[in-house]
Amino acid sequence: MTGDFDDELRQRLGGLSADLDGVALPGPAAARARAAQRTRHQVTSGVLAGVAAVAAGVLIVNPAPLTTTPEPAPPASRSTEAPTDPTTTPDDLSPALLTAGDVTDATGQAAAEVTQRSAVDCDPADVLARLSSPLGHAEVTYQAGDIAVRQDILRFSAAESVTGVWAEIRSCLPARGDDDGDAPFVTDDLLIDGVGDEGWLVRYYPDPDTDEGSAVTAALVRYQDVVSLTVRTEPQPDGPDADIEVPVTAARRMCDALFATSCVTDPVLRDAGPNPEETTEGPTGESTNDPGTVPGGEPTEPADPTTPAEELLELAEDPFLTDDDVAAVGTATGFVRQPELDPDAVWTPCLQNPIDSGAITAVALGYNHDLDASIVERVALMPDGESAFSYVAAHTTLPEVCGEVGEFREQTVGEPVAVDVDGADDAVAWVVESVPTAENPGSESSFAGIGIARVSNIVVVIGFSAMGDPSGGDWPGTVSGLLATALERAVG
Amino acid sequence: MAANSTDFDEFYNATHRRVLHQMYAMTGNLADAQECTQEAYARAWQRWKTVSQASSPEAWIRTVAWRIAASRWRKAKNGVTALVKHGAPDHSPSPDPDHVALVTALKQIPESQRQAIVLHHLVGMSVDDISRETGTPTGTIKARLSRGRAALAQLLADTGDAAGIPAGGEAS
Repeated sequence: MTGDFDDELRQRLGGLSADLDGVALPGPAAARARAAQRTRHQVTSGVLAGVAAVAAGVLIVNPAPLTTTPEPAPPASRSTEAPTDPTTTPDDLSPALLTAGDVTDATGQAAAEVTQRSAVDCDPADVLARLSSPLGHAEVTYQAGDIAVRQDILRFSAAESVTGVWAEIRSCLPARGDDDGDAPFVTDDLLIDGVGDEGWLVRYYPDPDTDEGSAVTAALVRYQDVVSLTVRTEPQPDGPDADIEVPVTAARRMCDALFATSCVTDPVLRDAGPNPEETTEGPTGESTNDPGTVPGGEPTEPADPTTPAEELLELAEDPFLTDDDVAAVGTATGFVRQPELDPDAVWTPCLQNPIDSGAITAVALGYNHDLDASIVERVALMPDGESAFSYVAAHTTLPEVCGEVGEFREQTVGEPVAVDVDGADDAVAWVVESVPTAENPGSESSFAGIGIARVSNIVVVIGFSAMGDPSGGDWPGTVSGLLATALERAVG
Repeated sequence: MAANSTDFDEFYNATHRRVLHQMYAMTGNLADAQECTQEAYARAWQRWKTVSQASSPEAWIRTVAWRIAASRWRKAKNGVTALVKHGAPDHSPSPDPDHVALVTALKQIPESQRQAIVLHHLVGMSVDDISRETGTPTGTIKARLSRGRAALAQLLADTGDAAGIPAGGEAS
């Protein structure tokens, strides 16, 4: 009898397909267009944007200082809008990849394409995969003798500085020459001039204490809306001080294939560290945020000595929101400071601890009211604007990979969205709902709303947890005001 | 090697009708099914390099589409603003009374049971496969199937649609 029912059910479920007759989805091109549209929206609305210092060619938001800086008049070679060159193909970037001949020429050893792509410590490709929602992506790997060369090419929605992306890549590694006994060890930290619109290079030993270890040279070059990331891995003793040939060859191929132009003029490597004649007080003393390199500016221009160094902020003596500030959070009212409340007890899913992201100082304070809701505010002093930016940027993608579906509860993680917060350089917010499953009767749903904002090197986090959403479905709109106030309170 | 739109298009064309069918059974609403399915493919394209290398890209699409649908239900239940639609196609409900009865019954059982029913009886997945795809213990899947079948039988019987059809039994 059960078999009969199964058959009946199977047959009837299958019969639903008749309802699909004459029904058509918009098609794969529409799906890709929707993805591309979302990417553009996300970027221009500020998260990755601010983050990658966007501004669509009108203003460049410098991740380091608090101000927006008019972008210098772009040279003719640099479009401020998405390229419309009909010779470019939006999706297929593979013709722009290095060829075996290119790699042979660049390395001096016969190269052959391989399918096996080995990871390296602090793999820059991981950052690209995590930070960006590219319109197109292509990759290739070659083996040339004992040298492995990998390349990733990504296209974005508009020509944007990728200073922030490089900062994220670079943040995995210590300062150059900083031999604290821990791997890896950075030997070169350089800017690439005369190649593309901007470029960076870092060389490091993932395991410097091992003679048989490798040397990694990673380079990121951007031209218009396309970036090329090359990673060259070779035995330590054989490695050059800093290989520029592979990234230059890659850029030459990329620009020729996609833009039918040359974006390589006079390739030069120069130190990415601060000019010793200038004063920088960054705690690391080795920032890739070269004070002479305004994001979006032309790297071929000499450093502008009048450009101020990054202004680092300090925390206020009492950096937290007051009771009045949190008197009303949407429909939830009456919060008061609760110093005895364990901040970690407030449910803030998908949130990284700022300390784990390199914060110099991170403090937290809880708030609650008579009912079920709690707030935790975290305030962090980061070493510099780049690391603060990286912390925010990480949360533009973290919610995509967190969330749990268990036997008794299922979490639904909302997509992180950019938030326009007064006084903030970057801000992002998201929500998580935890709903009991059918195996968990009697339990209630719970809601968490989180917002992060940063100004320069100061980061504030607002986490709200309750049984319901106090924002009426507009958590970003609700938290934006709190974040703005929180930044005001946090900065000394 | 590259994020290849041709591969994606071929995958889409080969699988979208199956996924749409499954989502229709899961949601009981063609417009919702279309929207969730299309949205899942859009998300897949954003991560095509990864998705295309998954052991079953179609399962990835199905899982994502299901989560999108579940999220929409919960938002609707809470009176929260619905997800922004992207030109969701307009489609009238099925006039077939048998289909109407079935989707109405499906919509009345818990999401988790409905998902198990659809995956087992429509997609044809084994309990073990459902367990792996949903990350749920096999015992739980069996329980969901059993309860779901019992509930469906009752609901369909109440409508005079499935009188005499027994429910329950162990899942295969």
